[in-house]
This record gives sequence, structure tokens and C-alpha cells, in this order.
Amino acid sequence: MPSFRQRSVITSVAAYRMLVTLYPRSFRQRFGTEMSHVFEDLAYEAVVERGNVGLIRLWFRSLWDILKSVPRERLVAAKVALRADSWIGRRHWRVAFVACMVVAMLVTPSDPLSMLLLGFPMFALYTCLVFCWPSKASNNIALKDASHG
Amino acid sequence: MTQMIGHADFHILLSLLDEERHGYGIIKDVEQMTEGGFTLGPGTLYGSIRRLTARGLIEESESRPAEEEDDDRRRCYYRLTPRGRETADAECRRVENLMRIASTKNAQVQLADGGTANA
Repeated sequence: MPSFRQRSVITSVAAYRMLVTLYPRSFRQRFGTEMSHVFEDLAYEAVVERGNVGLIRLWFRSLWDILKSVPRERLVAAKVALRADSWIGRRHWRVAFVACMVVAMLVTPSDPLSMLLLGFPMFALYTCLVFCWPSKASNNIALKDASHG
Repeated sequence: MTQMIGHADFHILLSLLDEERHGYGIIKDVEQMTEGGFTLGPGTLYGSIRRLTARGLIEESESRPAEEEDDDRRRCYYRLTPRGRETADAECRRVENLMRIASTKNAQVQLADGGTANA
């Protein structure tokens, strides 16, 4: 039966694996397993050297690390998605922007300011949806990253 | 012409200068080099590895230099490419120059301060 310390490491690693899902899919596919392995090594080392206090310190460091690196990796993935030669390329964004403005114009035909006030948030919402949705672009990023490696 | 590299990236290049290492090995080596002054988390480490690999400065290695230390998990080892070595050398020279400038400036300031105090 695993000791209390072993159980804390096992639980920590499971929790860390869940946090790794915050990274973009392409990054996760390439480094997710390795990151969990490294965290596991660090967790065992921390527990052996300083007990559960060491593990808590490791958690603080790791959470800060995740807070710093997730937005950076998400930004990189978004930039790659914008450059990707797929339906999500530049032409698509132009078409989406014009479509949002046309819809906004149809909804508020006599007021240009309201049109802009409606059109821009619509486009922003659409952008968020595209980046949050697991799309063909994410697969392209994964393939590109794999070919780099 | 070599490109500028970040703090974490430079530490990783320095760590890989003498031998091939896996992720955990790099973290421990950087910690040892800086006497605990600079620690890399897995997220920062693999973000840097992605960047350095994309720029052709490091690459995955097929060999497993510390196989006897490995458990059943398949660890991924990284090594410097010739371009990575050049970049690390260039960055070392840049830091050395910077240190020289800093110590010269510091000496000048101390001299000036001493002169003012004496006056």
C-alpha cells in the first residue's frame, strides 16, 4: 500500500496532468507527456528532500510557471493558426469581418455608430469561438510542429 | 548573423553545451549552474525547447546517454546543433562584453565618488 507521501505525489501528478490540458493541443501532443514526467521527477525529489513542504513549494512554483507559459503558448498557437494555409487563413478573416459588418448594417440600417458597436463585438465573439473550437487549424499546427521536430 | 535569445533559452543552451540531456536533466543542471538562483518549470522549459527546436538551435537526440539512470519511461534527450553552438558562443561573448562595460563603468563611478568625497 502506498505511503502518504507516495499518495501525495501520485495525486499531484494527476492534478498536474489535468492542468497540462490548458496548453494548446499541438503543444500538449508534443510535450504533454514529457512535462508530466518531469513534474513527477520533481515531485518525488521534493518529497524525498523536504517532505510535503517541498511538494507545496513545488506546486507554488509550478502554478506560477503555468500562469506564465499558458498564455504565451496560446498566443503562439493562435499566430500559427492565423498563418496556416487552411480555411482559417487571412482571406477567411477578411470574409468573416465583412460578414459581421454586413449583418450589423442590416440590423441597424440607419445608424453607423451602432453598426460599429455591434459589428466589432460580433467579430470578436466569432474570433473567440474559432480559437476555442478544436478545428482543422489546430491539426495543421500539430502537423507543422511534428515536422519541425 | 546570430539572433538574440532569451534568458531561459540561453540557460538551456549552456546546459546542453557539454552533453545531451533530457528535460529533468536540463532543469537540474540549470539549477546547479546558477546555485538555485534560476529555476525552470516544465512549462517554461518546454516552451523554450519548442522555440529553440523551431529555430534549429537544438534537436532531439536518438541516443540515450544516461540509459542506466532511466526507468521504463522513454525520455527524450536534446542536443545542440552546430548553429546552436554558434549562438551560445556569440551570446557568451555578448555577455562578457557587457560585463566588461559594466565593470569599467562601475570603476569610473567609484572613482568619481571617491574624488567627490575627498574634495
